[in-house]
Amino acid sequence: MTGLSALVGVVLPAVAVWLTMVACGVGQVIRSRTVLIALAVCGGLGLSALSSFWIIANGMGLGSGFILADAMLWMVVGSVAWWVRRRRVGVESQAPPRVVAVAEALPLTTTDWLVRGVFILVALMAVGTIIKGYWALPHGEWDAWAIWNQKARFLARGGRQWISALAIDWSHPGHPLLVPLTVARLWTYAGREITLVPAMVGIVFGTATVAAVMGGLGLHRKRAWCAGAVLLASGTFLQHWTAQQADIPFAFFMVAGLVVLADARISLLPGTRDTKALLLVAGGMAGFALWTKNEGMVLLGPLALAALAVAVRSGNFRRVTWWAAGVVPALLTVLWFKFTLAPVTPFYLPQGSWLLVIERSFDHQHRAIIDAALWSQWTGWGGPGATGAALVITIAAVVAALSRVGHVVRFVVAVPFVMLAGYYAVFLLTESDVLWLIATTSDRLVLQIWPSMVLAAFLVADANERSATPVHEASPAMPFVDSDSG
Amino acid sequence: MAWCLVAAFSAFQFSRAPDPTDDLDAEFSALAEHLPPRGLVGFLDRYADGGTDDAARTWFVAQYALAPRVVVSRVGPEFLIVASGAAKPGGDPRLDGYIHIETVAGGHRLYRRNLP
Repeated sequence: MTGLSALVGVVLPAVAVWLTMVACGVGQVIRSRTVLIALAVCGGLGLSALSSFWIIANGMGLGSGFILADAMLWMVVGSVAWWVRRRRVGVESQAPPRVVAVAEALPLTTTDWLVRGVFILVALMAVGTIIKGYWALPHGEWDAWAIWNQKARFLARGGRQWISALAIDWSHPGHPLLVPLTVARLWTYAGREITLVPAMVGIVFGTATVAAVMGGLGLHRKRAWCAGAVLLASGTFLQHWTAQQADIPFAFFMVAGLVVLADARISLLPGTRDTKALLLVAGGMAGFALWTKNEGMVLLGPLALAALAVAVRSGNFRRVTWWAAGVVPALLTVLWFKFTLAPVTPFYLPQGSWLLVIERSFDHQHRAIIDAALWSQWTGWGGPGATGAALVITIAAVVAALSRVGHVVRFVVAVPFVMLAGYYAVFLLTESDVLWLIATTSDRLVLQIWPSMVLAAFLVADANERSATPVHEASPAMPFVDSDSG
Repeated sequence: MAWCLVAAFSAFQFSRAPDPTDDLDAEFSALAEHLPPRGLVGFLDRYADGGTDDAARTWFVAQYALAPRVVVSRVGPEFLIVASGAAKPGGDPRLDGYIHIETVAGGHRLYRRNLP
């Protein structure tokens, strides 16, 4: 029963965000209902983590008063969006009907059924792996109880004194609060601190990640089911669904931002208002990534450039301000949190003199040690039976990017590569024990970009599949997202 | 796709080592009723092997269990947690001035400063 109460805390903001996206016309541009649901559920959790922060920052503890305020907020947002949507439907009903995709209406071939069957088998085994993972580690992995869930307990139990959590220097007080706030909020809805809640948060974000990648590739295409199977085949990826850390949510916000931007990059006519809505949603995803992990700071730069590219393509580079508008709420929250509540420089950033930093970056032997450690981690990533998965998918993504029809892949794959360059710079310049840092973080850093790499690797697969049929109006060359809503 | 099936089956078959966190959390949580609702609580470092992962885990789980209190790894606060095996056998001088008030499952003990 408590688990169901926690689900209410997931569903309320999800419905409100869904209605808002539909009211803003996002639902008409992102044709994949799977992607829309993923955006609504996880965007709802992201927004509720932001609103929860401002509610508790103003002195209200997490209790029955909080639930009332939180539930009211989402019901008001949903009601306003519903009203706006009804008004828009009245106006648009006189407009000519849009051309919609019909490719998915074709009968499935034997190969289609085979690919779907394999995906279902892999997904069933993945469900088993996830259940086993939760039973083995009900409190999650080390960082879950040392950092993320510990902060959630401070938030849920501490009332106005939750801020004491920031006095514990070994639990990274400067880490952003999206995950702890989400867990604490859902515990408040559940009425009890059950370990199922933080595990559920990971499972919801993990499922949404798979949905975003598959929906982004078009569920009526074989490539989507292949990509889903590849995603779920990695034991390392699945292990993190119940690790109760922040890497799966971060991976979702990253790949969701890319899916939305890639859709905008391909399918929009210059100057339509839909560009604004899509850029706003993509900006929101980037902002939530920032509110999830410090790595969001590294992600922000390449995503901003990608958004600028979309804005330029839409015929007005100033539209990038819509992307910025999506980022701003989370960015301001993170800046306020970091400068007023937790002004701590992460231990891995260089803090010595710049001369030493420059000297270290030109130290050939130091670089060789880092390269060897990273290569070893990269090639060994994947989990049991999937060792080398990251390397294979990276090569596939690069090959796809270099192909004749790989213009969208180049756009998608550039973001994780720039992020990796940023991480490499941190490893190169850090004053901490770099081998320890690589050994303890690289697994999760690869995990964060894994869904985006899988998306990129499969973008050109079956590029011409079913393209003989009429597809939506603005993407004749290489449909990225077609309707899977039936 | 065959590789996906093999990898997914391998991941399913993989078993993790038993995790002591659940038991430790329950044991340290039992101390909460004897502690004030917030404030600093001391935690005695192990007299030997204090720098191991196991020692760190015990301290970190004590913090996790007793939030929103802040568990500090030193002697001095009014309340002091002595995890199982942390005190030197035969009398630990670091416990001078403290009196034993509770022992919970797992052998963890709670001490309180003996006020003059």
